[in-house]
Amino acid sequence: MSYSAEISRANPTCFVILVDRSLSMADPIGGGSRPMRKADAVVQAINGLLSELAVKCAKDDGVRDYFHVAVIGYGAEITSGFHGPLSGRWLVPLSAVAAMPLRLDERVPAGAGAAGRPVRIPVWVEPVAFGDTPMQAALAQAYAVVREWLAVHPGCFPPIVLNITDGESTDGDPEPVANALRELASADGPVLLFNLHLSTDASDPLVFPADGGRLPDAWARKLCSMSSYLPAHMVEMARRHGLDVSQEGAKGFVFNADVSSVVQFLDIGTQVLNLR
Amino acid sequence: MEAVFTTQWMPRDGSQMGDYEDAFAPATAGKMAGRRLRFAVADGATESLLSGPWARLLVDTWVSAPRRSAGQLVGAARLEWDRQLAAYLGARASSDRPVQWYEEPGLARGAHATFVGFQLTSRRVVGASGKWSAVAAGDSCMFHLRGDGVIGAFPIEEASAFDRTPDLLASREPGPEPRSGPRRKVRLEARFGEWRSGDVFLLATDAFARWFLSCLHDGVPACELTRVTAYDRDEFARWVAARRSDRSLANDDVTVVSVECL
Repeated sequence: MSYSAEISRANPTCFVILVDRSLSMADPIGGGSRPMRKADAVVQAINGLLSELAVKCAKDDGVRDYFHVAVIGYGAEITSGFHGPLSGRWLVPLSAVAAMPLRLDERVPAGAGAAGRPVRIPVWVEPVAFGDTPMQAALAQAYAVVREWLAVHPGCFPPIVLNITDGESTDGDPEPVANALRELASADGPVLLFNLHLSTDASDPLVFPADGGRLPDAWARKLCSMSSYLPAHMVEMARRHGLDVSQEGAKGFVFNADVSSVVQFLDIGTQVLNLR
Repeated sequence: MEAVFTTQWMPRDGSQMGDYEDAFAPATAGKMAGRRLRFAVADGATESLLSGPWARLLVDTWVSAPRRSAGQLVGAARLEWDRQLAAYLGARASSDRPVQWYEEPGLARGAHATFVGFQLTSRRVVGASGKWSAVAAGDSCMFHLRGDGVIGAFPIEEASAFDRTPDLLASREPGPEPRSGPRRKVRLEARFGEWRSGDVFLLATDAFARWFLSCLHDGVPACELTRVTAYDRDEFARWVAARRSDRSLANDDVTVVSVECL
């Protein structure tokens, strides 16, 4: 059965997060309690995910390298999305991610009151909104990173690639390279590619549809078609989030995502089984 | 009353002995006599910090004060935990390895573990029957064997009932945690019964318990399954490796305590 490999320090897996950094990412995003730029909402969600992964894998002896993570930014150029000490690096073991944030902000948690103790909030990725949307080249970079990983980790839980964008590709059709990426595989199954399309308005998101039939345009249908089906355990997790997801098959695709669906997408899309 | 007991344990494959996060009490095999005998196993949650020491503290708290009720167990363990945690944090602060940002949320959430505590009582020190009671949270299990059969399983009765989100006893009251979802307050479940001379009780964490129930479901006699509890350390290690290899036993920490009433 696919997607059942144990994830351990001896057999880690990887997450590759692709972030659209085009100019339109400076536009506001729908949802949320206060007005926010898409770029800000996305980096907040990614920093939150990286932080949660490090916390989840922290034991008394440090952060365990169950995962290696890459953030690939695409806009005016294709670069590593990490800022600070990890700048320029593609896949980074989680212990190094935890040890080398760009900075640690201090914040009193909401609801803790004036006397609440501040907690340290790590930041690795900062918002950028400049240039076009070279999605084909970004997926090609992800392909290179994942292929190299699989050559060294052929038995791993299949790598998961999450692409967050608000627009159409400006450097050509991304579908062939997306298909090639999904055809890469470990012994435990094919690589998973999930896509999220960001909204500027307040219309309801369409989350993990069974197919592209209800999508409004050809580009949305293409992104949906480029997406892997969610494995069973992610379907189960989506249902626990209260999402109406088909048991027969749900595409790892979110259309018209608002602030909370970005967080949900990253949370469900990085769920794995058998962490040892 | 008198009971003989054995203990078997093994960390998950690919980890060190020090990474073992189950716990059991008493610490070694032997024979006990008394009007009230206690045993326990616990399984520290993989995704929480210091869960091994918390599992250890739960089993020790259960067996160290036999007159303490099940309702007092968690409160007593939490009091001691706060003391141990303060000492731990003090030592970290003065060491060259102060607490890092990624440990703070885990320390704030507390440590978590499943637990089953078991007690045999008898009116007489030498008696051939008496009462038993068990308390449990999550998927650490107790099995009651008589003759060739299993006459009780608690709190899980079917291998299919195990899932990835068992109830967990926490080292502190649950608080609001938006990203990880709310943790509900967990209560210990209790079960009672009577024992007779010759009865055997198994206490096991989830990996062994699931294997045991699966084999029973497949019609394997219980007496064959319990042979493993008498193995020496090397035999047990080989048995665990073989079961992990044929995938009938999950690669998780394995713990089983066997108690035979004399």
